[in-house]
Amino acid sequence: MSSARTNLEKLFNPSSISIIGASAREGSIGFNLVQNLQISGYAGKIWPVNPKYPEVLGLKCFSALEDTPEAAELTLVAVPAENVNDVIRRSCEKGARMFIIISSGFDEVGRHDLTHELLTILKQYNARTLGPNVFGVFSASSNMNATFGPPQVRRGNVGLISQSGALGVALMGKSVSDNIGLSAVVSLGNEADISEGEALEYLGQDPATEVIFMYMEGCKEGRHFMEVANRVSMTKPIVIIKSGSSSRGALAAASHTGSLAGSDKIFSAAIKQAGVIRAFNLTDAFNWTRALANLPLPTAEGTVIVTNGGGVGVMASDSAERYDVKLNDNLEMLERIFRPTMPAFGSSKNPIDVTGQARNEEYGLALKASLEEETIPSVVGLYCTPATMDVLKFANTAVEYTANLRGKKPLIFSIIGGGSVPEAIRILNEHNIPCYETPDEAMSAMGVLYKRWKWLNKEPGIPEEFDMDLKAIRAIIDAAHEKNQTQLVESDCAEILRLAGLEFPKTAIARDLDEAIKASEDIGYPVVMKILSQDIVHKTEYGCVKLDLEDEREVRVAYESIMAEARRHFPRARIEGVTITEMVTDATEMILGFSMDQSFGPVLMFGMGGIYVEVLKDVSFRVAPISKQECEHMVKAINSYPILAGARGKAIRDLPKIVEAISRLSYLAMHTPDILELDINPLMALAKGKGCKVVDSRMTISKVQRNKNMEEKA
Amino acid sequence: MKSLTITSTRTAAGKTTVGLGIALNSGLKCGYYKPYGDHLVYSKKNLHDLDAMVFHDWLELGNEVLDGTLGFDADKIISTWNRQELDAVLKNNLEAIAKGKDIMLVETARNYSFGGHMDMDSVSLAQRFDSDILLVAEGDVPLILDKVMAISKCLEGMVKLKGIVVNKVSEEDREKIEIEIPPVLERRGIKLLGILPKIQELKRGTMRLVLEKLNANIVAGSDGLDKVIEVVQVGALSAEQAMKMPTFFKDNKALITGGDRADLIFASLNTNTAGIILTNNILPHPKIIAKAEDMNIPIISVHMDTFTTAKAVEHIVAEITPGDEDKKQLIKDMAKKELDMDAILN
Repeated sequence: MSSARTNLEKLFNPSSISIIGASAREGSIGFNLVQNLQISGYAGKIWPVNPKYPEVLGLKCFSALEDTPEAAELTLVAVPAENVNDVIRRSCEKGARMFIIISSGFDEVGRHDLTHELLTILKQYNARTLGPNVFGVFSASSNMNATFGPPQVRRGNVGLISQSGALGVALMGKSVSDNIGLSAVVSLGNEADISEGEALEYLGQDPATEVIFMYMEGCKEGRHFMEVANRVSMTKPIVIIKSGSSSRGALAAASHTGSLAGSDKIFSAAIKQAGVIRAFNLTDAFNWTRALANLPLPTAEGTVIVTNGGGVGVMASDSAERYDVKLNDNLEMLERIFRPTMPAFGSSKNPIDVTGQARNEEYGLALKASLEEETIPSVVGLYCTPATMDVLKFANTAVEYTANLRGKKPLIFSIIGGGSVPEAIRILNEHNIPCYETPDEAMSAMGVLYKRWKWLNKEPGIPEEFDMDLKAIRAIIDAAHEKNQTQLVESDCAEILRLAGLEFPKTAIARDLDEAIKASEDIGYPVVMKILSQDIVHKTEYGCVKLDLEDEREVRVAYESIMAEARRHFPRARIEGVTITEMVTDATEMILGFSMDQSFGPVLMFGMGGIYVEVLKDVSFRVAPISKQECEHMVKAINSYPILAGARGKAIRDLPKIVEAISRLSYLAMHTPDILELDINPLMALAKGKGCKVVDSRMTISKVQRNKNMEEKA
Repeated sequence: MKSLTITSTRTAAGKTTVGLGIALNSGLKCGYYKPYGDHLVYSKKNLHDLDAMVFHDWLELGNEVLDGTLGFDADKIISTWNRQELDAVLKNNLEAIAKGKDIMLVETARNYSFGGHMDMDSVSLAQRFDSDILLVAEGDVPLILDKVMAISKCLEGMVKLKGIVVNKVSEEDREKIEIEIPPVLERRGIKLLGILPKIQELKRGTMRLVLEKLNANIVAGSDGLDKVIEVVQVGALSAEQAMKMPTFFKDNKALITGGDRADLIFASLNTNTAGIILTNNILPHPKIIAKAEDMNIPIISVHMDTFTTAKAVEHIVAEITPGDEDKKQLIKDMAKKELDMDAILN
């Protein structure tokens, strides 16, 4: 039994509960807490505490917490915020160690002092608490509804974790109407002590919970949460709906990577890596949860759509493409299986159209055939209610014909129409056939099953190790710290990337025109000339960069132009000469970088580069470290990937080298906590076999030294 | 060979305008030489002086006019030629350009003293080419007189000051200049050879020129870069307030603002706009960029702040550029009316 399970066991399965602030006043929180415990059939001891009442709902009410027969295994606290810490201290003295603080009035209203005092008490007694500012906990395995939410909770296999009190209560209510059974509900509130990660870890190990549904607003310890989510996802699907995305951090960032990596994008990338399924609205979240909670995962691609209407079949096919659900195109098999079940004018091409003329039994037979055929891994059934048919009879037929076949492969339905359709949908859902109002919702749910199946079956990989001279990298950063630099000069930045193993175009420094000509000849025309001066940052904008110089005359002209522009715009700049660089031609401009996120740590970014990077925003993110396989996924995740892969007759880019560059940056990011932001823009992706080269880069380091770990590693 | 060295009391006083006015109205074959460049244009891997490019284009002169400029940077000139070599190369270049010409106009860089430490100031050039000096002045009356009198004293016994042309004179200042300046100049035998008015129409340029001179990035509407800017508008107000300003509705305005001012940019796209210059490298929403692209209105982006950009754009649009036939005609007409051509040429 792991630590989370041990630590939180009393929160979910206590043998006794005291309710400090219990009330006999109907409708009050103190009343509802006691009432819900009774209604849910909690078999343990319930000890209401309130000096105002001799009894609450037929239970003896104790005037002081010291009067209860013994310390309760779980204490619910529903008293004014100012009194909470006193209650916690006295309870701890009596021996209580697990609390749910229902009361609000702590951090959420700026009373950080109360939270600080609370944590001090908890630490002193080695006690734990959920909240403050929560609606409680429900645990199906102990028949405990220790919430002031709905008294009736449908039991099932879905664990619900909510950071919002009001929405959490609403979600409990909606789960009843949506036929989603709950195994546990945890309201997290202010998370002064027990965090979302710990709650997730517990439900991950809870045998009664098979699917976890989370509502989140923020993530305090992103990296820890991601690790837990990754672990839990291995055995149970997690569906998260998260609101609240901040652009404040993005505005303050100095680099493209920093500004593009808003906190919500990082969160999205992180949970995706961890195998979590993110929904952006409640409908999707419930639809997907219902499918995940009731259906097995598919074992192969090739979904079959069975429909009685051509139009909805086409709609579902469109949705299948949108949700990356591959449809079965084994025409021979489809003809063999379905032709006997349909009228002569029906279509056995996927979608299987049994037509509106088909009787319920014919549809049922087609459905049955699809479930019996082993080479069909998943089925979406669509039913348009004909004017002459009774949809309820159809629902019962569907249940009947699939009776012994359900549970072997995913079967999802959509019934479209008016009248009794809601009741028909309810019938199917009651029989664990997730049924939705639209073909799109059905296919979206199927898409989620496939997404999870693919994630579970993806090739596992471990981040690559590189032989980098971290000591030398550290020395460059230390030198910059000594000069109070936070923005590294170009040459230092380039040197760090060279040490990290990234490739650069051939470059030479020239102190005067003669050296520039010689360097150009040594490197080979065409070349690029750039001013070399620590005092000139925006070189291009001030005419201090000249491209594509093809002979000595052009080098002479460019040199004079650069020097004149530099002296005109920056009369006080210290000019050390120029750099001569190999001109990289026939390359695709990419951007690669990372930024240090406060919650998730280093976050990698890769995408289309150049001057339009912030307009196009065609980038993908991953939380470092990542494996080579994940680097490949990162490259494939951008919309412009076909360009890299050789679309429209263009030469395919050197994808292995791009992947290696990302992998090296992932390693660098994990070993250089002092680098807060790094942009390589552009990273020139050359044709296959020719590598990818860093043309320009920018690096921001911390104001103070943070890289002690790196020193040890070095 | 007759030659005239045109210099000025201060930078950007209008040497090129006066030189063009003379050349376009002289009825003679005029040559032009600018030995020391100060309007660097790096284009198509060539480096030329903008003023030389204008003379080359407007007067249909040979490429030797472009190639004659020795450089734009004192260090380069000093490191390339010693004093004797410099004399020789300057005279050779002048002779090459002057071939077949009736008169040579030599323009100095910046002002009368610029280039003095390598003997390429106005006096050194005029002595070397045995030419008189025509001084272009700008400013208020006391300032003009102070400068001209001081300069004439310095020239005494070295080169002849042929006279002065006062440029960029507003209508209200003209009478004062006509009355007060000639009597003082006459004390030293200096002639007032013309008064050129300030013409708003000369302050116009294209978005392409702004793009090139600012080394800006083109964000949208590249096909509309040759639209002419007639007024420069700095977008510091809200769109609502800006829409109350009459200048916001002037035709062919260039709007200078930050990319985060979506309201203003949007409002600008819906009025007659020659182009939008975004400062601080902040780009607007892709939908705005797409709209500008559809409307063929250029949007360019610079890293400078709005104030610096506005100053730079004001300077750029005042420049005379090759191919600008409107400005050519304006200058020709103005010079014909205002310059004492007989006194200047004889």
